[in-house]
Amino acid sequence: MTLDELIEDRRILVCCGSGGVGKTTAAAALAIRAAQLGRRTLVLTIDPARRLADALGVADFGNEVRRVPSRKFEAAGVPLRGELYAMMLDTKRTFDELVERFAPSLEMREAILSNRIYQQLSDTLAGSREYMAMEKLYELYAEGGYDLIVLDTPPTKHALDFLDAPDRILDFLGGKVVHVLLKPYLMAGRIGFEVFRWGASSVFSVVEKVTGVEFLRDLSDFVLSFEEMYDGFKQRAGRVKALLGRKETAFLLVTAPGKFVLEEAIFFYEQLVEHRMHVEAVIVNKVHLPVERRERGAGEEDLEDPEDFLPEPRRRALAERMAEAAGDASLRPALEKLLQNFAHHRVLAKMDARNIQMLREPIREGVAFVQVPLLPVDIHDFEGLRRLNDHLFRAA
Amino acid sequence: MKPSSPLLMRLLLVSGKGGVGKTTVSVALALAAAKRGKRVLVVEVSPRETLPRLFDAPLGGHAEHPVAENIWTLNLDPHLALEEYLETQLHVRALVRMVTGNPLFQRLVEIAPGWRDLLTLGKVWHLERQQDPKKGRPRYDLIIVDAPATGHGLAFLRTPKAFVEATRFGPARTHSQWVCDLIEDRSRTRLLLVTLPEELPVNETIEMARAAEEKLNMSFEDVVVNAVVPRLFTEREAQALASLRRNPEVLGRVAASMEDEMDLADLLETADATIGRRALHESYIRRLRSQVRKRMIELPFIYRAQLSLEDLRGLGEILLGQMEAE
Repeated sequence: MTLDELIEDRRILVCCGSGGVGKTTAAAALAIRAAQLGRRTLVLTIDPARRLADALGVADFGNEVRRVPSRKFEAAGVPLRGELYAMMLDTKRTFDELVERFAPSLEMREAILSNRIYQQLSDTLAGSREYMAMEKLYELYAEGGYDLIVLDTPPTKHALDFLDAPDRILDFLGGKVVHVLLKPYLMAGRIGFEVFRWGASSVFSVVEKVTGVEFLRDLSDFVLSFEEMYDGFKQRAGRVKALLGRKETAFLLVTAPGKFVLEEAIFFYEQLVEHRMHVEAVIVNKVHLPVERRERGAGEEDLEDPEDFLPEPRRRALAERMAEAAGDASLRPALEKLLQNFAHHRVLAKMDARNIQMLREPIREGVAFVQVPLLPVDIHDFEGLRRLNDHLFRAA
Repeated sequence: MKPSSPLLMRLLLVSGKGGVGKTTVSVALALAAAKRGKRVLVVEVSPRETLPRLFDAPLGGHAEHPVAENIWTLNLDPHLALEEYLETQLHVRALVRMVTGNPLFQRLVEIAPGWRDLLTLGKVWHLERQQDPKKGRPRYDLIIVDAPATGHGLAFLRTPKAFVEATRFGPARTHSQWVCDLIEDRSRTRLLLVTLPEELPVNETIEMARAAEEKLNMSFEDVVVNAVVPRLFTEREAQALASLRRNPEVLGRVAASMEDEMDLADLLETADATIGRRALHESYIRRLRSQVRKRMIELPFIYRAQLSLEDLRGLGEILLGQMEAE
């Protein structure tokens, strides 16, 4: 399926990948294209660069959906048939809203929101950004009102972080672990008695001994108040996960040619497939694409050093010959640099091609595979996003 | 030795966003220090150990491991550091195993925030105190920490302080305070930020530098801008080429004089791309300089598939030279 077909066909596009590979710009560019093609589109971004947030008009509106004015499209010369909305996710605020939604009473709600442990956890708990990104996606999807939602995910090492984070966090908050650990404190707040297991109590005493007791008391207050909301949270997390696995949701893997980043992308891909998510496209950004006006000689596959491509004596002789042809000997140093720069580029292009091949192998057939060249300018405005789309949708 | 020399420190914390070249900078500095007779330990915290590979040495895991003359590496495993720490607290190995082997404890550890950072820095604190009993001096002159890319900026370095603030008593609070004392000691510890001349890394570095000034009470002098595309042409060369390009007839002769496998138009196109990248890099460095009042050390982009030890040595000399400059 091509990117255009995905845009037409699906309800949710999730852009995932390591940090710094251009996920946010890819998400924004896809959303612009979708709006351009007539879909009512929302792009949900996590941590956009300030100028990109400005370009979309969401910089000062954390957690609020804003409509991107159509004049932005006009100014960039892009015909707009649909509508584009954008939102910048605020993890803490999303978590607060969720608490507000499920808190059984006003007092409970205030007790949780003002709890020190909650304030720490909602922001820094491993996976809370991923959890809230999924939560917000579900909320906006369930509200209806959009043909397509494009989600930019937080940079994570493991794809599993955003598939598993909700369960992991909820199991922690509502699960056995905390309850057993905190039993003495929980009991102080509730009637009941139970002999707790030897192992658990020892673990508890170690944690208490090392961390200091007060911390555990705060935690137990929080866990106690959270208990009543647990089922609501849990059910909802189950629905979020189900939504991600549906056919109407497509995952787009965004990556860049660095070896390390590509290895992460392969790992990501395998995890997603294992979890039966529909990975439908791979976008490789910032590629040194070869300039191909002329067929190259063979035997360059292992090219690793510019000196191997064009050793200094040859470079020198060639530059001299070219300067002679120009009838200007003073051109030689510039021509030599011109040749050397070309050799540099050849090495980078070969390096990227080799690395990308590594990624291509494990990807199943039928997944769109798009390479975007390293652009001499960074993308931070509408005009740039439109140009990015020229590359993304070139094949289409 | 210059008073500003990083070689006078005990601990260098190399921090920055993922993928900006923290490992490159850590190893380059280690090579420069080792060359001057310092015994250096480089610490990484990584699920995939990389440091020994750069030295063509076998992997050493969570153990100090010699990889070159005067250089040791350690891939710090927070889980093992936690076990070591519990052992110092419980004194009985069997008890430690009982605790860490407990599934409930494992679940708690899996989810609890911050403990990895805390134990990582705790282990570094412990390493800093190691003595060479025969010679009666510290085991390492310098410890360089290739800090984990947490995605939370400098939260890593704030963890001990946050822990001290969040708890009221208990041994872990006392120990975290000791770690804070080391990190904040300007005569022993220095922070080094690494970045790339690109939009997101630069933005993040501006924020990190601000946070370091406001929230971390530690010595922070230098920002390393890694992989800067070097300037291609001098002013005169650029002009000469420009006038060549305006003359199609001469251009045709030059193209004809070239070897078969290269095309002049390709050469010119790639040169334009490099010049564009260079201009972009310069604009980001300008922005960084205007926002962060620190010494900027630029490291050149090296056009090779894999940096060699020789490349790293060269980068180390640039780094040290600039860090020692007045």
